[in-house]
Amino acid sequence: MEFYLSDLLGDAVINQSKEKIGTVLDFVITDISATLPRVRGLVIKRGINKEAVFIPYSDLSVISPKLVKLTTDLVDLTPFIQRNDEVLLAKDVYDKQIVDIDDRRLTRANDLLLEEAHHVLVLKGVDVSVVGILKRLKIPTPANLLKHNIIDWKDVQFLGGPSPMKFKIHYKKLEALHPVDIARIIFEGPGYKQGSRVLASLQDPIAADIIEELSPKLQQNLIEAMKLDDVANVINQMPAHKAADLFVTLGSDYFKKILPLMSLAKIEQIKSLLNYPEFSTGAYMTTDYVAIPSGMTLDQVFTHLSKIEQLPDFMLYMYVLESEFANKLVGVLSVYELFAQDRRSRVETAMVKNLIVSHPQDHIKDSLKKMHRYNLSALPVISRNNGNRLIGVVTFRDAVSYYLPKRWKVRIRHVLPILE
Amino acid sequence: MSENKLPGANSLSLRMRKFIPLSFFTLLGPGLVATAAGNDAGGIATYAVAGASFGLKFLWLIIPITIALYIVQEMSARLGAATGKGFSDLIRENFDLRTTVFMMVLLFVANAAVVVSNFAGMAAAFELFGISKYISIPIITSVIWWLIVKGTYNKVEKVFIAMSGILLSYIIAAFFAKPDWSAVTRSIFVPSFSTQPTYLALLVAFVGTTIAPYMQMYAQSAVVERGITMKDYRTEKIDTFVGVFFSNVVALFIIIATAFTLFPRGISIESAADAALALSPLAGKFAEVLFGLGLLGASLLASSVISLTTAFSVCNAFGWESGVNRSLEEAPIFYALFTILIVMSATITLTPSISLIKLLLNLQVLNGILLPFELIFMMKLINKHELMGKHTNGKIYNLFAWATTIGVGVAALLYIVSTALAYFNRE
Repeated sequence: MEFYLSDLLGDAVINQSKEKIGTVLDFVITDISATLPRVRGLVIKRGINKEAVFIPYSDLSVISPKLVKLTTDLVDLTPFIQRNDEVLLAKDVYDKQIVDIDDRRLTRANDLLLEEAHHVLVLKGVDVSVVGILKRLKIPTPANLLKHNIIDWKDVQFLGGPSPMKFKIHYKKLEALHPVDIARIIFEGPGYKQGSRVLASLQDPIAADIIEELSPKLQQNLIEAMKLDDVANVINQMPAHKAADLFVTLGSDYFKKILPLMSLAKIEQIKSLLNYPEFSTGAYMTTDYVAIPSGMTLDQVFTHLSKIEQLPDFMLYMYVLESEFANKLVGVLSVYELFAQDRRSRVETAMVKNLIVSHPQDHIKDSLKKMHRYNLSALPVISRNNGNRLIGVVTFRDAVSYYLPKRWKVRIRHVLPILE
Repeated sequence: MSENKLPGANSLSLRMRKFIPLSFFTLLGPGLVATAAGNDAGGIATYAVAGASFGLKFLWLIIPITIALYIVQEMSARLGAATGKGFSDLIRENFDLRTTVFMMVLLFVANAAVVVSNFAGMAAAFELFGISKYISIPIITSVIWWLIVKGTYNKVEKVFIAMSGILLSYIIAAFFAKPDWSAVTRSIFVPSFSTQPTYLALLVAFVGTTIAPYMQMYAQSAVVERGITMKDYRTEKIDTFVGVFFSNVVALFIIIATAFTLFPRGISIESAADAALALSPLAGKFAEVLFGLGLLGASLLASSVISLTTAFSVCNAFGWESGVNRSLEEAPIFYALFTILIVMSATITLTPSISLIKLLLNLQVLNGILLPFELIFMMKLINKHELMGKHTNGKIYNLFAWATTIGVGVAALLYIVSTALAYFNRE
């Protein structure tokens, strides 16, 4: 049997001796993130004082849109107090924003569909249609004109609503979406306060990806609303140059607060990146690139790549180091060569040895000119005085931003949705 | 969708930037825009009629209404900054469904009234240029629809803003009219009141057009859209104040200009041409052209922005897709609401033998009657501790806010009672 929540709320509750003891006020669920969350019990309003009391689902013999019947006369009269792990369907889910995972969009729960089978009542889906609204307002609608639109609960991400109750929500369903979509949803939907709660509960690498997609203003709002520990975990997952950008956005006061919580290696990387003067190549470079030792065979390179958890944005070239331990740049291997050459040959023979490089102190304009002249998509950045030590990579895309208006990142964000 | 094909291309669209044009926010703060936009066709007509028919008798209202408008706009901005949500989202999440539907219908009607009055403003402006409304309105309706749906609205918006800026010439015109400044000062500080139904109607229209519900929705959405939080709220307050002040200064000078040009000659405003007469001390025979262009710009701007804000808010409350970067297929209800608003407005404006100025005034009265309901819900939201935390109204502030709510409620009630009495006396 399927019921809409709106049909059950306000139902008369009858005990075993057929006396009316109250009306249905709400339904309690503890595993809201499950595919089919189970109703644990009912909250009913009883007596003249309209006290809310809890009735476990096992005490029910009949549940229907007409009445709810109990198997007992004994009702625990302790007033109901919502616990932190309990979600109330009418109070916390009704009317709140939810994410429709299949359509990657935010919508609202206009009604909820429950299903009863073998004495188990589960939350089956959400009605997001206009009919759902009209039905709750008790406005009759011609059945064939408008249809209910039910989204299965398995395809719904519950966001928790603005309720001060802190339920444990799993965001596994949301995490399956592209970070760009998650960022948009967090931004369009719950506002920065609730958004920061969602962000803090996502897995750190995913949260790091999402933060990168946000506008500086929103980054600031969301991050300042998050706990320092959560922020530190997320930043530890970011490539250093992006973390450095983020710190520029957040300002030095915040930087000081979060410093003690971060890994020392990350701090060093960020610090050194922030030290480069404006418009120097160092200020534009990324530290997120693939480096391989020259002794590997191309076959080993493939294996190596497959083991990297998160490949960098820029993957056209791989940078060849003298050995696994020495950071000395000896060559560049392009992805084209990787595919064209014999898999058994060694990196040393496949790579380009004639290096076109840039130094961190060089003006970004000069690096860009070099890329243009030699028709390259990126340049390795090596330290001038320390042999051929590789310290980063500057890509054409990042370098070109020098010529874009100052707030180019923000602007691009505004322009892209129009282009799409 | 190309999203997945653009790695690293960060394409986060900001919520309202989808439809509320960028230029708006980069040029001016949202508080300023929201209130400056209050001087649309309805506002101009109301202030001009107030000055022409009652001379300086409405000037005393300027100071209290500036305070009231500031309080209301500030609360809207604070709701947005503290919650990060729009007004319709808050209504849906904090009240039951019945209340939500009631509020959405109310806001839809109130905003539709403003859109209709701006269509009437456009028709009046075109009539000044000798173009019949039966020609101008169908054309302009199609143009607005096309601009919005095709997403080219942003490009022409600056033109609208510039055109509506022409109305600032009222300020200069007021000086050219050589007003009796001591009488002006006296009228600002000494209240005069009348229980005449026409005076009361104009009073409610005055309130309704100055504190229009859409301005609060717009201000709140704009704060949310720009990501303003309580941390940078101080500048937001200044922005709100400047906007409110500026908007009412314009209102003040429209009244002064008309009170010293039209009122002494007994010209009560029957058409846009009469309202334009008040600019003649400044512009002579070009007064009509000046007024017509200003009115057209203000009306075009307001009707586009308000119809979109309304469709957007209603969709948000019910969880429907919205925003102009969604296609017709993706957001059918959004575009349907928008289309209904402008087509309905065009139809009402085209009704034969309707007086555009009377229509304009009556629609502001409607706004004034609906306003108290909106304010009551705003008060409930802003004082809800679990929503606002420590940012609820302070005790004294709350007193003023309730005084505003009750004040506009009493004005609306007085008008309804006096109209009803007048009606029964005639019987």
